[in-house]
Amino acid sequence: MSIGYALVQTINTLFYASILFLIASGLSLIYGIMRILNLAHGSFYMLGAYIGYTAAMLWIGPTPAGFIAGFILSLALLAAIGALTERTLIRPLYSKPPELQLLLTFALMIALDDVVKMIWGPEYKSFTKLPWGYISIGHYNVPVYMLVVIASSTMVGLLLWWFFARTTIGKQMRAAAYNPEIAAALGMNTDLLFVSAFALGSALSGFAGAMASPILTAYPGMGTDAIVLSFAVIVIGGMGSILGSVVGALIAAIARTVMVIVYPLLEVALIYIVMIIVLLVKPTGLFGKEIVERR
Amino acid sequence: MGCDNLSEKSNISRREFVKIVGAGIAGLVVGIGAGYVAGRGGGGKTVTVTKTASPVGGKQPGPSIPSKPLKIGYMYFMSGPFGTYGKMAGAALEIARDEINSMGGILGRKIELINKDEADRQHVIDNIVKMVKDEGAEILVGIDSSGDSLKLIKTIEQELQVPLIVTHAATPKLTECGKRKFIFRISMYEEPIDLAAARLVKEYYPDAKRVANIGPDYAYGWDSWAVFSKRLKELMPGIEFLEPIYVKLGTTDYTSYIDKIISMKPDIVFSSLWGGDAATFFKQAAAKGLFKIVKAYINPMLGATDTLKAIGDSNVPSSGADIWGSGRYWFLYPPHDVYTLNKKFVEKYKGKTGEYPPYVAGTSYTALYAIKAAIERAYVELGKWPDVDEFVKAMEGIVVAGPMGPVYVRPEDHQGMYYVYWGKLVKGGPRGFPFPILGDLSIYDAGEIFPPPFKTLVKCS
Repeated sequence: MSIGYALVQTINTLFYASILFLIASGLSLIYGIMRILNLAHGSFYMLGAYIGYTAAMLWIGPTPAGFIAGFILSLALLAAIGALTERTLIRPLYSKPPELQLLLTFALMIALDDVVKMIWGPEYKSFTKLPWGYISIGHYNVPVYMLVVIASSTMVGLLLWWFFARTTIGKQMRAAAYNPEIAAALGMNTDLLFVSAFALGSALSGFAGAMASPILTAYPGMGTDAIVLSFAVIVIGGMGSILGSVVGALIAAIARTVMVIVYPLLEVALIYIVMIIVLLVKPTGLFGKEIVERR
Repeated sequence: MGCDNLSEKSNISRREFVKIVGAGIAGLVVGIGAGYVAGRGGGGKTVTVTKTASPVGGKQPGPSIPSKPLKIGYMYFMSGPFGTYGKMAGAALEIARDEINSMGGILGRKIELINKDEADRQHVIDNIVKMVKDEGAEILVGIDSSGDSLKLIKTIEQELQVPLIVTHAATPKLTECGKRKFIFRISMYEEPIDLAAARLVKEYYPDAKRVANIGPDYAYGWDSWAVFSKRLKELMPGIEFLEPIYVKLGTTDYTSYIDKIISMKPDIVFSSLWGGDAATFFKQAAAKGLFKIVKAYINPMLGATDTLKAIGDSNVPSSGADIWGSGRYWFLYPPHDVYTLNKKFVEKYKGKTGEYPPYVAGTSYTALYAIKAAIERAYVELGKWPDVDEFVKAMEGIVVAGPMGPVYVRPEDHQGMYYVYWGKLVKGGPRGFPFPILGDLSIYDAGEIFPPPFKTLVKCS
């Protein structure tokens, strides 16, 4: 294996891990703080992809400005959609059995696929161009866009770490996650914390969609594929842990690339095999803590 | 190995085979002539060819002809991820129905279309039975999925005994692994396209040495590569095949695969990815520079308008590899200036849907005219509306003019025969199309490309 080949495959792996991390960290964050497993989280990723497409291809054109506008717009809109979802659909179910949340978010996932088809049609939506050009490594080509995605995702990871470790609202979110009753008794506005957490998690997913779609395309149903894979990622990394999402996404991406190179027929299977092994050996995931049952 | 469940009819001698192929070619020549004459002189009467076969076309139903409409049931994916296929095919069927009905129907019987959704996965067989038994469909058309087409063989042949004209599902096993009585396929199947691809490589890239494959990980992807590579090995014994790659349907990130292919240093990449997968792969391959390092990229499913739309002009590399695509029907061939039937069909389809017709539209449209031609042929011979057996007999060997040109329905295996095309991908914009198109078509004659009936390279069991 030449150095150039190893390098491009590393970049491919990091690109894939970056997208997985953005989706999975949002899912994990919402679960960690609110104990909500949002099955429609993948559909928010899909919405982000379509919003990115609309900004870059329909409104502004496939220029750097169009793509950046798409990223920002999808972040903002998905934060709003996330907040709205929490307020209207999720909140009434907090005191109900968790199965109802699963059913509701599952229904939302199905409905959003149809919403996307109604607005954008059933076809694959194609970005005609990637911004920022290409670099050559030997006779391999790397779109600079992939490097931008890797850098952005790394930055988001660092920001999340800073947010939860250093900011008051981040610390409060962690407190509310640990024990919402006591947090409320201490005067924290848990309602506000929950809606913020849901909005933040959804925004991350939407951002992931906008970042991914120029290379991976946007299509109805892409959310379902994404949610299944991000489950595997957070099960491996540990539910509710941002560091777990980083490690889980890297393991998933590395496993995939290694299989593509060595034995493509197991490309999809290996990640789930890893997941099963983690579940057997450390059911809370590599970085997960013991989950406290809460009522 | 091979087809185990062949009837004795398939064991034809070489001499008989030559005769059959000869007849087929003769039929095609007559058909092409008729089609072109119809196109040139007729000013667009789409039925000139079939109408001449009928002495009573357009008259009121005679005493031996049922007066109620002829119900034709069709089944395609009408919803879900593949829902556009059914809508496109359905629109073409409606065009054919309206044309035929406006000329008085088939021997005076109007056509009525009913349909069921193939996306209703649990009830594919039930819904076919329902269309026939409860809703009175006399003839069936359609089927997108190869798996469904095979699953339906028993139901159609034994339980329902109603003709089914398949217009999309392309597995060789449907027609080439045993004699079907009631099942016909008017559309091109996979194998001739893959066989022609091998010829294309020999003709255009005689000094190619290394060939890579990336296809979908199910029967179609495996069969397609098996047929292409076996034939190419016969034509170019020195050729080297690199380890074939198969990927899950719906894969969105091909970047690692593409760099793997580049690292294998192929001259030619063969790929049977289709639909959105083909488009996603193509765009990533363009971004990753695959087309700069190979001589040719060959995809038997690239000639699909939905795929080409998803690829978009700006992803078509302006230099580097030749990119070849094929399909079951290409809306610009036969050329509109020499073949009016195709021109009229494209115009009508575009008027109705706003889109250029995809291949499923061309083949489903042709199916309705094949039904019309067979019934009229039977009427000429029998003087009455044919029963099912008589209809089947009339379908065998019929030549029908579709938008793709004349299609000859081979009597032995009920498989529609017409040329295979391969075309080079070019930007559509400069030529007035909103998506990339196939130019520089290479046409491979059906008589030369089609394997003899029941002689498929695909394993039947």
